[in-house]
Amino acid sequence: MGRLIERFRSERAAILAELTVATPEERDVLARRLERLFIDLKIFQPHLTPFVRDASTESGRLGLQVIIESLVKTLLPKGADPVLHLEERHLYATMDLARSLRNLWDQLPSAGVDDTLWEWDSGPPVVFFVPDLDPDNAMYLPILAHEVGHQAVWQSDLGNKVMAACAQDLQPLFDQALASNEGLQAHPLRRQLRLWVDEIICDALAAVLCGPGFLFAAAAFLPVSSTGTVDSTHPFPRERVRLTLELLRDRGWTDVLDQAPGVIGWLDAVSVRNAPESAREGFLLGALDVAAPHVRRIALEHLSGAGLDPADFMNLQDELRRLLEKGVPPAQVAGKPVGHWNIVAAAWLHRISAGGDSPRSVAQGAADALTNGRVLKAIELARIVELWEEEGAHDAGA
Amino acid sequence: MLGHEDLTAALEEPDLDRRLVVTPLLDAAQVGPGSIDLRLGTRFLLSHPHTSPTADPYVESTDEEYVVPFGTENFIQPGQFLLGATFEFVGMPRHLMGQVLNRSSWARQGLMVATAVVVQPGYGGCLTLELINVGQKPLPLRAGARIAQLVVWQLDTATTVPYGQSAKYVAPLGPQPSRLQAEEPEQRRLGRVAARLPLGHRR
Repeated sequence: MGRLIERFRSERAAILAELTVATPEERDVLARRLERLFIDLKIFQPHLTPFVRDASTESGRLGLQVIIESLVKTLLPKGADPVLHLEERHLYATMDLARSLRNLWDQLPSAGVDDTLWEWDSGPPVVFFVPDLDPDNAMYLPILAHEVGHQAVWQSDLGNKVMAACAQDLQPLFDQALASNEGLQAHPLRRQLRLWVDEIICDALAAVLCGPGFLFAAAAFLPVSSTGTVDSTHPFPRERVRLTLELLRDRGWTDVLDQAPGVIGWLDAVSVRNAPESAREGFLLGALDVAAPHVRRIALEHLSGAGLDPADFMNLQDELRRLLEKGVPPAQVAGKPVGHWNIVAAAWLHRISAGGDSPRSVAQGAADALTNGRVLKAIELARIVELWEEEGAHDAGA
Repeated sequence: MLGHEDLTAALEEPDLDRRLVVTPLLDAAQVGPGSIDLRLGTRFLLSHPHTSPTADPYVESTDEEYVVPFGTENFIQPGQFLLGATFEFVGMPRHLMGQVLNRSSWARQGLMVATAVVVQPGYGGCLTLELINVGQKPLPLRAGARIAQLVVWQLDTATTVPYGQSAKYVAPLGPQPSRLQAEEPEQRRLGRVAARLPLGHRR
């Protein structure tokens, strides 16, 4: 199965590479190859998901599947047929297989596939890549939420919504940047800003959904202390941390963040903004400031109340932390199943506290195999409790 | 021994150090008159038949783990031996201890679920179940089915040496294979004692 996905990716990458230099005749050939790849996708997709689901179940990776299904339900209005794939590189990512072809298709006018063929009964096939060396890392699950956010951005056109909302306020910044002596050009600059905006939308979605769990996972996963590069497709890590901290405080998480003063103090310190060193940097940072409130509003609207609630977490967290300290998977409190992002956030605070509330405790928390195992088990058990209750209510109503 | 009211009180004890933990408890009715029904988990360990004439139980286990999705059946054949685990994580405080017993309805079908039945004070984890079908027909074991029962006693004095971090089976989340190899130093010592006893070397 892994070979199929790799073959799909390599053939798509080859077509993309050849497309940029192809003559009109060669583009016809590429169009046929693309059609062939699309047909392959149509053929193997119905077999892909059941196979991967079975494999995941047999390997006991149910907690991860629970999270993926929840992310699809919460974030993706058009749904997705999720395929779990272990990735050689140490990263989390998602790839909508059909859309990745559609993007090429639109550049090949001679390619002809009926529009109805792009419809998928069970949602578009989306591959969820998780690191194969550490697939069961529960503490990093909020990073997966960020990656699924990219599918949400596409499905609901969130990036364009943000850009449209702040277009007027961005214009003076564009004008100022283009008038600088750095030779900046409008299109590449706009394109880079759009990429940065997409990233902070995904951060906002993950932060609203997962609460402080996303902040801590990002602090463990991203090189937050590095300055980053101004021509990157991703905003500086420190900017992402700063915006995430702002969002969480804005959402009422201050009391919870204050429970880890060492880590939060470190993140506050690394996310202090320096004076911009170039017109490009000045533009991008200014544009992030303009976009940030719109990003938050649109992320909240998109999730329509599905985010983690600080008050709910505060009610549960003492019990969750005590259970984790005892080595108990915190699946159920007072007879009720615990929401999975509550479990992950509590696990982060537990590990940070146990590790001395320092930057090192964040890295150690991500690497703690015992806590990761308990959290994933708790997510699995809590989902079973939830389904059990739903089926009981169904019986009672029948 | 704890009856229904005492079991309920122990399960709801606010102080986690004194609480009897059985989680998740899908149904309050699992707490019976004098025991708590335990469900079958999803993970199993299967021993492969040995091809050599002898097998050393002190060598690390090579049992194969497999997972049966919650709510689906796993058949155990007549004469077959499997290790399973409880669905619930059980945490025993220092002043309680427990015993895992067969449920009568299953025992009548020929299923034995537990032979190492004592749950020590201080133990925490999913309980490994030694599943044996001594009946004449294959039995469908559905992951999540109520398959065993836990009876609980209160100690006269809470133990000061609870089952802990240095023990062989710490906070497992599924069935654990035998760890007899941890007792190998004792085996060697027994051998040395035997060798030094009069006529010991002739045995």
